Amino acid sequence: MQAVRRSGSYIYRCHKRLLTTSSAVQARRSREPWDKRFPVRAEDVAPDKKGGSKEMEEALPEDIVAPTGIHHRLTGEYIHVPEMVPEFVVPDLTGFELKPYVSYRAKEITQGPITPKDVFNSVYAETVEDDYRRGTIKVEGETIKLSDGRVLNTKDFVGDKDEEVQ
Amino acid sequence: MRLTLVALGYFKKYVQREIAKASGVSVYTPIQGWRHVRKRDWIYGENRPWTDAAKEANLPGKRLREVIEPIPESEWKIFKGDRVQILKGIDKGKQGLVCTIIKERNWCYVEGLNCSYKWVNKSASSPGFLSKVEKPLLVTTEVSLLDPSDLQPTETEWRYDEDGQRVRVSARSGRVVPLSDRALNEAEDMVDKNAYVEQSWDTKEKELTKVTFTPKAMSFEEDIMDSMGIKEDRERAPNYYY
Repeated sequence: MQAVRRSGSYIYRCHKRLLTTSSAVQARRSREPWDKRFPVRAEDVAPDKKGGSKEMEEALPEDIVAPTGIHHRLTGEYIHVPEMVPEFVVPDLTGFELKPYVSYRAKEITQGPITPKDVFNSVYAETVEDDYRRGTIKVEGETIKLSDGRVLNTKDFVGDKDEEVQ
Repeated sequence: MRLTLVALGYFKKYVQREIAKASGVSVYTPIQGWRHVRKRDWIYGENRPWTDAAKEANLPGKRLREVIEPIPESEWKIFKGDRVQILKGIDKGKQGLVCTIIKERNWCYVEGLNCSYKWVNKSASSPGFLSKVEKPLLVTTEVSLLDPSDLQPTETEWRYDEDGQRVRVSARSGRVVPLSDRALNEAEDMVDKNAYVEQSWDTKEKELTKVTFTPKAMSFEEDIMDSMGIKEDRERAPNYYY
């Protein structure tokens, strides 16, 4: 363990955990060399900062927001480059009738979450019904014989207790 | 998809936000984040909480002197548009319609009754005009609902009718005291639904009730790939985490 004295409070390092006896809330600027709770910024490694250098400052981005142009090397003017402006790809909204707000006159609608049963009913139920009517699927008591040769048993499948067997 | 509470409670959130801004200070510190300090209990009054007058009545140091009897939400009986009889005050015995309700103070205002009169814009040449402002009445003791059969004050109870609807029933005759149209057609932000004029930014009921989504037995990403014709034959490498 190594004790490092810092502004009236003792900070002991043990097993890579940093404990401090003073208040944990300190201003960002007073932390040296930079506030380790946040990622490093270009201003944290400026030449005037402890441990900073011009090379490190230039390696990091200047702004959080990406620039949309370039500075002319000789004249210094800022040239706007349209290709650097982000382009949002949104779906085509022609014929889309939904609007940002809902009219006060519209009735209140509540729908429950979509259950696996709803997914089954939407995707498979129709084909299963057609197959059964045509005779491709045969039900004999507890066994179900499918067209591809598989034989299923109703006992192997757990259903809802409230469901009635038709 | 269920309409979330966030969407439905926009007005409630707006009111709470305005109250929080005017009854304390929000302070930001790193890691702790935003905290509300120097909080004060909001004093509800005749002015709505987002108005300047209400915020002025809630400056630091102001206190509510009276004690408010707590009435649970389920036991609240007086609504906008109800016909009531005033039991106490200068207009004792008179009947009128309820125009405003302030639940936090157990107040109700009856249209044109229990008013205070004041001469405004008085000058040497003219007497000005007489302003008539309704004074609040306590819902518990000073006002009573009427029995529809004889239009006399009666005690009411919340009961369930044959259809399972929760209704107010007169204790004396057993007749249902119906809610007025004004109360039933009022939205949470006090907008009259029937009088509302639909705008270009409003989704109409016809569009709202259309069901255009069909559930598919594939994930969202697979659905997008399927609709755009993207085919992915590569298999994901095994991922182990313990």
